[in-house]
Amino acid sequence: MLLGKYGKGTLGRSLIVLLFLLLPIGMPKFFIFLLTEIFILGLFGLAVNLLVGYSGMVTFGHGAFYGLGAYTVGLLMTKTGIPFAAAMFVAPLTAAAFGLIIGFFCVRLTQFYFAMLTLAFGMLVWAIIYKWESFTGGDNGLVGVVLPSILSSPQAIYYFTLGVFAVCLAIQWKIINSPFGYTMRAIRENPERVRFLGIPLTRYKLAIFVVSAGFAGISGGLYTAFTKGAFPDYASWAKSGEGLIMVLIGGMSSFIGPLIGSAVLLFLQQIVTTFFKYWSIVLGFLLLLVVLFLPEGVMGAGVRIRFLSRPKEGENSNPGPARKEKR
Amino acid sequence: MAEAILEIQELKKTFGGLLAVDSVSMKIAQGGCSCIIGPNGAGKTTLFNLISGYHPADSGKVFFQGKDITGKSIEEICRSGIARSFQLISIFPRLSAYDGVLISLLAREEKTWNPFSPAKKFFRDEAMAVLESVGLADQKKDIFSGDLSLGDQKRLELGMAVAQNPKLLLLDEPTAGMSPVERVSTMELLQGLAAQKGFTVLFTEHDMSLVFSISDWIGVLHLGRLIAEGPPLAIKGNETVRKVYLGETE
Repeated sequence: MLLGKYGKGTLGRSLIVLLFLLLPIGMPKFFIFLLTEIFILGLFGLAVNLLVGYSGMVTFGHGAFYGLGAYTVGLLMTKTGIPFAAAMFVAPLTAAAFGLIIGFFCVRLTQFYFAMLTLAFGMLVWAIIYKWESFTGGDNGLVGVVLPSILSSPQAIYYFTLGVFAVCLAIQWKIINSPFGYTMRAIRENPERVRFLGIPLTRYKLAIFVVSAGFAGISGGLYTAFTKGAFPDYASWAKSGEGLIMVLIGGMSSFIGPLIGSAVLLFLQQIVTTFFKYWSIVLGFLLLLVVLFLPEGVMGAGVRIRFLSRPKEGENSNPGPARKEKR
Repeated sequence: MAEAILEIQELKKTFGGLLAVDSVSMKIAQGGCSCIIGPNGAGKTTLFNLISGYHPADSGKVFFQGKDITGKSIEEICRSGIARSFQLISIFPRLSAYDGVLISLLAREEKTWNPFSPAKKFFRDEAMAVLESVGLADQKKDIFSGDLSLGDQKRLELGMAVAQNPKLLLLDEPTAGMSPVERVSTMELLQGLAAQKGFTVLFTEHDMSLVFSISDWIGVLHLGRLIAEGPPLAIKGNETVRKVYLGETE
């Protein structure tokens, strides 16, 4: 629960930062790669959680924005002479721009219909990437992304990822504690009431969608840098599902939860696949356990285990924020 | 009659084959408390939903402060100065009472787009004043508002609506589910706030003694039609009203 203290007190915060700064020293490459991937996927999870956990909009199509960010960096780096830093900067803008177009249609719907439309658009983006071979490389993906020499070592990529992650984390922390962030939570809790406070609901939902897409784009861009290429899988609905799974494992009510979810997911995957071929079976069981016993995710586990301590009558029995409560 | 803050002309709404509101016309005077009464299913809530833009009207017009607000969106109508509460409590269950009131204040002052300043820094005194005025300024302000008692949730809803600084406050059964003592204290609280902040109240209520003691004007709905309107005394003496409504319940 070390990360649970994040944000409470400078000492704890500095220790965690120090820990992450020192972690790669003397570690095997494999471990540094794993850590890097955890941060990249964690950033994607955080982006998904802005929508799902904070605003109550369950999306099945966020992989599209991850993919768009990844391909933006990939295409710019392989087809134009644009420097890596600039490409990384364009990635969230591209994802956000597509978020604006896709979100324009999606935010008009709610709940199940919203989820289905995001899924449809997500698959559309994937299909375009997959089929447009002359531009995106299709099934073969884009390969040959050459990073600047300063990022040639695994450590350098790790620190770069950590830096980008930290900046994104800080920005998101600002956002969720701002009036805009409070409005996000209000929308999650009771969108109708929000309208009766005079807040233009649809515009806000679109804005949240765009911001979330932007952050997903950054994580996708990072992943292209990490793998030196971009592949259609990055935009697949399975990627969207991964985002949701991380949020679920880490706990929607927790700001840092998706990062924990990412760590649990990737660590377990590494360990399990060493011994056992069928990772999906294990993942399925893991999800089942989380949903049954840790409905608030790993980060909420210290608070309550659902079946063991039933809340008393009249108490709020479902404090997980994304659960919609109709009164 | 003082100047009308709200004027409804021939308002009509059907749901499928059901005529929920049938050519209702009325004028609500500026200031004071006006009340709509009527048996369950009379169309009271539908009328509120039409005024506040939740449902589009089939025909008819709604004027607020002389301006036509028919067909405007919920947000626009709210911004023009009409706040409302709901028959079924509508709050933010997993936000604290303080945060609920804060969001209402942020929305009123159009600060909700601000993505970088800490929200807690805004309107601290005013949020506390609002909570104080509805009796939630103690530790109740910090727990999930969904965990508050029903009465407290109703009071919070009132607080959130009052924080909007409305000119007209529509309250749909503001005391439903409260004990008789709570009812009286809530309505006294409401009257005090209305006098202090200068907003007009239009409410629906089932407790007749309460209605007759605090209303300046009463409209009686029955099967979607306005069958009587006037000051409490006139309503009490009205034959039709006695027959269709008061006679049944008393």
